[in-house]
Amino acid sequence: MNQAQIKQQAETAKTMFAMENISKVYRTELIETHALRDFTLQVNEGEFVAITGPSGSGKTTFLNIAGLLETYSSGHYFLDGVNTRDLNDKQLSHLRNTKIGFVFQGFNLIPDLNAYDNIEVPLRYRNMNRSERKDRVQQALARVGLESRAKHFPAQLSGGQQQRIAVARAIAGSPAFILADEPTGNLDSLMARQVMELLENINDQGTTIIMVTHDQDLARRTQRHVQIIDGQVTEMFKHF
Amino acid sequence: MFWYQYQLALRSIRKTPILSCVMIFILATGVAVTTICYTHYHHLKKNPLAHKDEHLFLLQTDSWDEKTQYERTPNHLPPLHSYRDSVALLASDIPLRKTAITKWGGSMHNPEIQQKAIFVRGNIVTRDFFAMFEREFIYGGAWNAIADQQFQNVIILNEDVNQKLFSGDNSIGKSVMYENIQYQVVGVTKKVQHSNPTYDIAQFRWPQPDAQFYIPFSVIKAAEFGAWTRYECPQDLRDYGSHWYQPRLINSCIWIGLWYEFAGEEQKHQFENFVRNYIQDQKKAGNYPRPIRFALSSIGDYMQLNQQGYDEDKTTIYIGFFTLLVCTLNFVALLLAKFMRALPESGVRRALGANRRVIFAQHLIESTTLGSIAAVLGMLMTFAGLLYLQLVWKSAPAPSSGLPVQDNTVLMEPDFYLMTVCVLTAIAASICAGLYPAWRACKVPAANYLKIQ
Ligand SMILES: Nc1ncnc2c1ncn2[C@@H]1O[C@H](COP(=O)(O)OP(=O)(O)O)[C@@H](O)[C@H]1O
Ligand SMILES: [Mg+2]
Repeated sequence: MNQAQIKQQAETAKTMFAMENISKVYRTELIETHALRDFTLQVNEGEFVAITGPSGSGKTTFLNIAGLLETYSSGHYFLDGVNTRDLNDKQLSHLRNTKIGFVFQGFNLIPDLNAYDNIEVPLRYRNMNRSERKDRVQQALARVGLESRAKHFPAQLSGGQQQRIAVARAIAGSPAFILADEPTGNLDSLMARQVMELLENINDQGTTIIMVTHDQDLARRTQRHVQIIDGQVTEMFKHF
Repeated sequence: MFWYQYQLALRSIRKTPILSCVMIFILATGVAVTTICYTHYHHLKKNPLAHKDEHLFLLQTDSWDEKTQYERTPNHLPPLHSYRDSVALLASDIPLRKTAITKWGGSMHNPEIQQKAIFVRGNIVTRDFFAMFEREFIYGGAWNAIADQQFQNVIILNEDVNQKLFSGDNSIGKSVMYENIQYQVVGVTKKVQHSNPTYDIAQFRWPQPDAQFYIPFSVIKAAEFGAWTRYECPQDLRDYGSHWYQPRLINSCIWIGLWYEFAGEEQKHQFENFVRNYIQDQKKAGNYPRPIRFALSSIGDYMQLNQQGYDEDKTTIYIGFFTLLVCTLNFVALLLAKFMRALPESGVRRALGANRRVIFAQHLIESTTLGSIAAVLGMLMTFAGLLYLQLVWKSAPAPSSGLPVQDNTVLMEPDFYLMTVCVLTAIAASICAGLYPAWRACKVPAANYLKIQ
């Protein structure tokens, strides 16, 4: 995409993700930890945002809240236009199932399921019929270039292949955005590059991606780079 | 969705085959022990003549002595009557059917063949007995009405005795010698083994051996036989003579049961008046010194009356339930360990959009699937256990008298109802056992399981 296109897109684009003054406080008997304070971030459809920050700065907390796996203490979080405050578990799970694709540092594939069945899991929780599930799984496999590994179990795949299957699982349900937590953290540099290229490729085809990483080089490759320190957004860079 | 959850359950069960087998075995054991412990109670509480409860009644009258009440029945009415009262109370024409019952035993043989005499135990009854208690005949039928009034040497054998004396052939018209008197066979009854003592309900809760022969009630006066039944006497200072047998035909000692069948309420009501008048009348002769009290109870009524007696048999049921509880708790512990080990997968499923209810259901389905398999195994174990107990009872040495022993194996008969109880218990136990582990699994803090180890 060239600069003009992106500018145009930014003006007309739909907001996929909006956090306004989100705070998260962890209370234990001894201390209160303000993992996020007045955290505000907006991401438009089609963007690729990298989030970096030192250890303990709140990146994982941000991802968990963004992924609706944890609640927040105050503020507002709109996901594809839906206010996520006061939703019950069923509604949150449904949003998570239909709007969010996860890619984790540890892959988190289910070891007893083959690649095909792993990719199918989120679709299973959607009451989708068999043939549509099949189409989507096969498309996703094709997009990550692993059609031939459909029957392989995670243990039979390399780390990079596992992560690509995880990416396929994340995109199979056509989510509003993908949340990636250090997606290349467990991979050697060659495999890391492959996965990163895959994510970029997916982004090019229109899927919004929010990626947490501590790798500055990777961050620089994205369109936008947000730095968190001490639970707050401190700097934003635009890379064009 | 259910199908998917069920597949997940099967996969999880197959994944740890040994653990799954142990869990199934534990639950099946608990369920089988419970069902086996419950079996005898289930059979004792069965009333094979429940459909006659509106019509068929045991008569009890308070013929006991002035000073003490009768203590050995729950309603404090003697279960039996004296011969004197029995004859008078049988004389009424109001009931549709009526019978006396007392028990005799002795030696019997077929005079036509050289054979050692067999020792038999039978009932002294009227011809109505067979219709009242639904005894079926293989050959012949009940004796005629005259035999009830005027003694005739007629006898009805049961199928076992007919087998022993006549090799199972039709013996109608043939003779048998019973205690040195010749009788002509008029009928052969089909053997029944009720777990419920029916006409002995006021004396026993446990099954009684099938009578091996039947002789008309009129024999009591004609021949002097000792009664083989409970023989109890109220305090009665009158002198009835010192003959070994004759006094029992006129004294107040009780040894004869009385049963009546009525066509309807009206008839029963009339008969109650008859009994009341009879007791009133007897008071003039110095009998029935206590306040007028009598009861007509159906078999069902009597069982209800004797609930406390049946409750004594519940002890084993408590043992069964305790075993089930222990087994279920073991099952819970193993299930919990299994589910906790699978938490990372549950965490991933939560992240991928499964809500808590779905995760809860998935785990409960797994527990119930184990329960269903345990139900089948438990059923087999129950069957085996009951057959084993029957075998043990059957192989107990027979008494040297040669008389039939009280056959308790009917109390260990597996039936459809018990199998249903067994299956439902297993499934219910597995659902209960699954609740807490499934709840723990669905409460998984997904985020904790997604971090890099
Ligand atoms: N469950 C928790 N309970 C208490 N404190 C927590 C919890 N999770 C994270 N924290 C604290 O919140 C802060 C932010 O943590 P985290 O979001 O994991 O940082 P990062 O991922 O950037 O390393 C840290 O100080 C951490 O100790
Ligand atoms: Mg982190």
